[in-house]
Amino acid sequence: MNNGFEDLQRKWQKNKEELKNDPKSTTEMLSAIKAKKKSSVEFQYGNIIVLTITLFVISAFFYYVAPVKQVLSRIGVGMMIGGLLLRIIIEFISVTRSKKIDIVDNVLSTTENTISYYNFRKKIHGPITIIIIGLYSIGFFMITPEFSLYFTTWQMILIDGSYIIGAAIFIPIIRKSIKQEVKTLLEIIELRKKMVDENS
Amino acid sequence: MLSFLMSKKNQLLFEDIYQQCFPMVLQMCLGFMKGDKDLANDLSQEVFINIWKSVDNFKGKSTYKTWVYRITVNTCLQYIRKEKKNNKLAIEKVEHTLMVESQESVNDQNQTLYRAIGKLEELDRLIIMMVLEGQDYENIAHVMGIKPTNVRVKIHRIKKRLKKILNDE
Repeated sequence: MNNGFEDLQRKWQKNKEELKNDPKSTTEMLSAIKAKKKSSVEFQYGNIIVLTITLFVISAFFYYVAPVKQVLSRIGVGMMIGGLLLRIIIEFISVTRSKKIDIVDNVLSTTENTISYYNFRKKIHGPITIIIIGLYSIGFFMITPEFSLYFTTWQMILIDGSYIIGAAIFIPIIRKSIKQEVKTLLEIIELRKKMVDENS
Repeated sequence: MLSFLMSKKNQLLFEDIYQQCFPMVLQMCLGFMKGDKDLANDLSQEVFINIWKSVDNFKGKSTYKTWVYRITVNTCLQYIRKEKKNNKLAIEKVEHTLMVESQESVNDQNQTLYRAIGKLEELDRLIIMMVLEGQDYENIAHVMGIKPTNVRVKIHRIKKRLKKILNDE
C-alpha cells in the first residue's frame, strides 16, 4: 500500500508544480478580495439593513401619516415596533457571535465554536421567533378597531387579508430556513463526533 | 482603502504567503471540490480572504504553513456548509462536472486523483490531502486539534479507503 501511496504523493506534488504557473498577480488577488469582502459585509448586514428600513418606514407611517389615538392602537404600534427592534438586536448579536468563530483556531475548536453559534441560532428560532411574530401580529390586529373607523369594511378585509396572505407566504419560508439551520447544526455535531472518534 | 488598513509589514507577509502557498491552497481546493476548477478558484479566493483578514493576528507561534493549513481546512468546511445552505445546485454541479470530465479525460491523471479524493468524506479528504502534502502526524494533529494517535488511526483507514476507490476505478 505504501508504494502505491508514495506514487500518489509523487503525482500530487507533480500536479502542484503545474499549478505554480497559475497564480494570479497579488494585485489581482487583492482586488478580488476587496470585491468579495464588500459583498460579504453586505450579505452579513443585509438583514439588519432591511429590518431597520422597515422599522423606520413603519415608525414614520404611524408618526406622520396615521398617528393612532386610541390606547389599544398605541400599544399595538408599540408591540409591532418593539418586535422589529427585538429582531434587529438579535440579528446584531448573531452577526457578532458569528464573527467570534475564529478560522485561525484548530479545526476542532472552530467546529465547537460553530456548534455553539448554531445552538444560539436554534434558540432564536424557537421561542424568540414565535414571540416576535406573535408581538408583530397581535400588534397589527390591535390597530384594526381604530383603523376600521376610517376605512370601509372591504378595505379592512383587504388590509387584514393581505397581512394573512403575507404571513402564509413568509412563515413557510422562515420554517424552511430554520429546518436548514437545524440540519446544518446536526451535520456539524456529526463532523465533531467523527473528528474526536478514534474509530471513524 | 483595504490595503491601508494593513501595515506594510503584514502586507508583505501576505504577499509572501500568497506566492508561497497559492499552489498548495489551490490544489487542496481542487481536491476538496473534486477537481472543479471554478469552484476551486472561488474557494481558494475565500481562503486568501480569510488569510488576509487574519494576517494581523499571525503571532508566529506555528510556522505560517501550519497556520495556512488551519485556515484552508476550516474555510473548506465552512464553504461546503454555505454552499449546501445557499444553493444545492452548486453541489450538483460538482457531480455533473465530474461526470463530464470523466468522459472527456479518462487518462487525465490529475482528474483521476481529484476524483478519487472526492469520493472520500469531507473530513477524510482534507486529512489525506495534508498527508499528500507531506505533513507529519504531529502537524496534522496540530491543525485538526486532535491527538496524533487519533490522526494515525484515521490516516490508516483513509489510505485503505482511497486504495479501494482507486482499485475500483
